[in-house]
Amino acid sequence: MTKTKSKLIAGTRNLNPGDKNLLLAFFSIAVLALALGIVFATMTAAGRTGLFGIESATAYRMLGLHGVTIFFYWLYFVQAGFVLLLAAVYTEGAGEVALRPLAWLGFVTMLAGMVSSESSYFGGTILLYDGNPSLLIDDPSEGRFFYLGYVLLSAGLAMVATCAIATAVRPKFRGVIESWTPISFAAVAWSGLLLVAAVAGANAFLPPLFWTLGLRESVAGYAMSWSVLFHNMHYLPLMATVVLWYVLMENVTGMQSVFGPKFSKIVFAIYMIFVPPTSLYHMFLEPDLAEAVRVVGSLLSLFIAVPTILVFVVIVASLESYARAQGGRGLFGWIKLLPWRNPVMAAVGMAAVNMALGGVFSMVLIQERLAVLLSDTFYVPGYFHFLTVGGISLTFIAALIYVIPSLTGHRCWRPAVLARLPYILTIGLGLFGAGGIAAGYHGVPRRIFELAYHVDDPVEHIDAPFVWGTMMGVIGAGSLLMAAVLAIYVYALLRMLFSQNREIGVDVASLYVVSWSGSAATRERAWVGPLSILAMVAAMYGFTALSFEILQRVPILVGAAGH
Amino acid sequence: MAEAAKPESRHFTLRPGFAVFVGLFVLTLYFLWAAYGAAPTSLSFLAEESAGPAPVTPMAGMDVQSASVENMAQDGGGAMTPDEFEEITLKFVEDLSLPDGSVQPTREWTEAMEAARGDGAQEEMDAAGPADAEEPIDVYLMAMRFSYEPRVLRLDRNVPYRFRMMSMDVNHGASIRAGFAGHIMRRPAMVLTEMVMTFSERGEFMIYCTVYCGAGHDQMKGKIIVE
Ligand code: HEM
Ligand SMILES: [Cu+2]
Repeated sequence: MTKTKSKLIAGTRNLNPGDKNLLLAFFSIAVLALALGIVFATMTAAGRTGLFGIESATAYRMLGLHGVTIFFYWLYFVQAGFVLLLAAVYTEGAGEVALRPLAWLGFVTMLAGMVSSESSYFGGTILLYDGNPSLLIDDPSEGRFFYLGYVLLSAGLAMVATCAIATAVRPKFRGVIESWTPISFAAVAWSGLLLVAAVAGANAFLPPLFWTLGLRESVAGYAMSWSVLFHNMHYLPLMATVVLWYVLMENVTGMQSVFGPKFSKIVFAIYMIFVPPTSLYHMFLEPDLAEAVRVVGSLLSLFIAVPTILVFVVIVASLESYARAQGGRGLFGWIKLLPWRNPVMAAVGMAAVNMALGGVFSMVLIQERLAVLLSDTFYVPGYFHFLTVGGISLTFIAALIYVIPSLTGHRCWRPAVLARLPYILTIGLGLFGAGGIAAGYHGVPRRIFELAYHVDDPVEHIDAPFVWGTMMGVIGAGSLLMAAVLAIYVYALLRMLFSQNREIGVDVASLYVVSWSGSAATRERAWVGPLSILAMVAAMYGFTALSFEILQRVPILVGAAGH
Repeated sequence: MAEAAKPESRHFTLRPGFAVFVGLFVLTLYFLWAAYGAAPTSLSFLAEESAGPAPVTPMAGMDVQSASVENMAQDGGGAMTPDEFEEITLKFVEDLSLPDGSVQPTREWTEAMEAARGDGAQEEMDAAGPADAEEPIDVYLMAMRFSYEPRVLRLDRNVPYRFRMMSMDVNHGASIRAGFAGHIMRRPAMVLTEMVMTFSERGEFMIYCTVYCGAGHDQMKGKIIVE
């Protein structure tokens, strides 16, 4: 075992107690939100698959709570913590969080937002996480706490992002450093995107909040402002994930990008430069949109995958050339040299696999013509859980495994167990995703709990197809595995937060790593990254073609509407 | 440091240019779209007139206020208020109901209604279409929390039907399960949408709501019988 000289661990340990408490506050609430979100997920899955009896109304409440708690509060509390941490630890000459009182205010505001959002589910009308205000036409006042929650979350995020930027900028202003490391540069770009999302959030949720308070007559344009926000929200956790891959791989192998720091900065800058402007294309998503605008929109959404792919190629190629310098041989043989026994390595490795799977299926759906086959079906949650659970959440959990013990001084709970969980999670996701995607192709809708569609009247009666039930069964099995794995992770994180666990724990600095620093074999080939991308693109072709073929076989011809 | 290696000594797979080349690979998906006619292959689209119904878009149509006058005009059905739509749909159901409760639209009814309206505008628009195309039969379908009206439609195979649809309260879906896939459609609130559909297979097809519309969303369904 090699004792790591990890910058992440050492830098985190060196933070002052005040900063540590701040970060622990964000991470504790993040873990709480994850735990709640998993409970709601399990109930939702139970409702969908008939695992145990649950009424439709309760199931909708669970679905709404699942989406809100896990997609908004887990993902943004954990991002807030990491953006502050990376800015403080990776900006040379920073060493501490700037404007800490403002960061605390951001924390309290976000927490108040979470309480408000969750409590809105005790009311009558059930909004799902997208908060469509038209569902409140009978009694707008029932949506007050829902929108208030999101407004507070946006405000809190803006404060946190400001602190992270200040943390990275201050040493430059003071002349302590000349330039940022790629990671602090990334933290600034990420904070910039967070600010954009916060503004988009305020823009989307303030009008309905005022409407539910009786201060406004109506809410115009919610669909569009939600889309603009949602677009930015897609890329935020995605960018956070690839930044953390970079950080974590450096920590478990000692590698640096063989493409150099400047290239990494350019890649991170692409997110900042392209993501907010492309959100504008949602403004043109009106029904009678000209063909040309649709095409440009679709091409842009293809382009937006490019920075994520670039980071993947950079990391894999760097790992490969370092591993070759250590004697790694064969096209794939070098992969065995990676420290897979380390729970963080295993998690990041599987996160990359899941991200690739999710990426393939998301690229099918961006073709507008296929919406008539797949939009609003279970295809959508089927593919995006690969991204949100297997890619993004797994990466955040991996980073927490290093960071929480470094903040608390506690040990890492049972690393040997944790190193196996990513594989089980991936199997669960495989079932959930395969079942969900197949269900989507068969027309199973998302957000439906009574699939039987039974009525007594013989003329009106029509059975839902038998296969629908079968596919929901597969989804149910996958859900159980996913929930079990995530529950163990939550338990482990809670132990690391609150318990010394001396006997079964390991010092995080002694987790198994390899130390490859300063020794890349840049003369040698690094094909695995490019080949994986080629395989992914081939799979995108395959599933896109399959979707068009199925679409053409639907026995409904849609013609011009005679005008 | 790795960066210190001279560019010439690097394998080409470790150069930024190559990484960018690989990154841009995903854009080639466009060619496949073009092969399926889902993307223009030349600049000719600039001159192309838009034909056919608007495709359903993933995020469109979640709006309270989408019932703008421009929208209704653009949707081609001519401006029709929800009240007018309800009136004509109820007449459609009353006139064309069979004893078992299903509704069978007919060409006579469509023509009688057109004559009664003295709808010059409609004919003018029809004339603009391909002359040999069979004139579609009108079908009215109203979506509301939490049902459709009519609930059961009886249609003929290989006959074009002009579906005129409106959601009366909030946004709904009116998706049809046919073959082994779904034909997913969104119906924004208070907007009239028209779409000509021809069913090429006999059978019973489920109409189901695919846009969450409140507590009874998952009881919202109807049926199309194609004979
Ligand atoms: C134990 C793990 C999980 C399970 C079993 C699970 C299961 C489900 C199920 C069954 C649905 C309902 C699909 C539908 O009917 O439309 C759903 C929706 C959703 N899930 Fe998960 N999920 C899990 C974790 C996550 C995580 C970690 C995230 C995000 C970070 C997430 C984000 C979402 C979102 C955004 C929705 C859509 C909600 C909506 O349509 O309103 N899920 N999930
Ligand atoms: Cu509905």
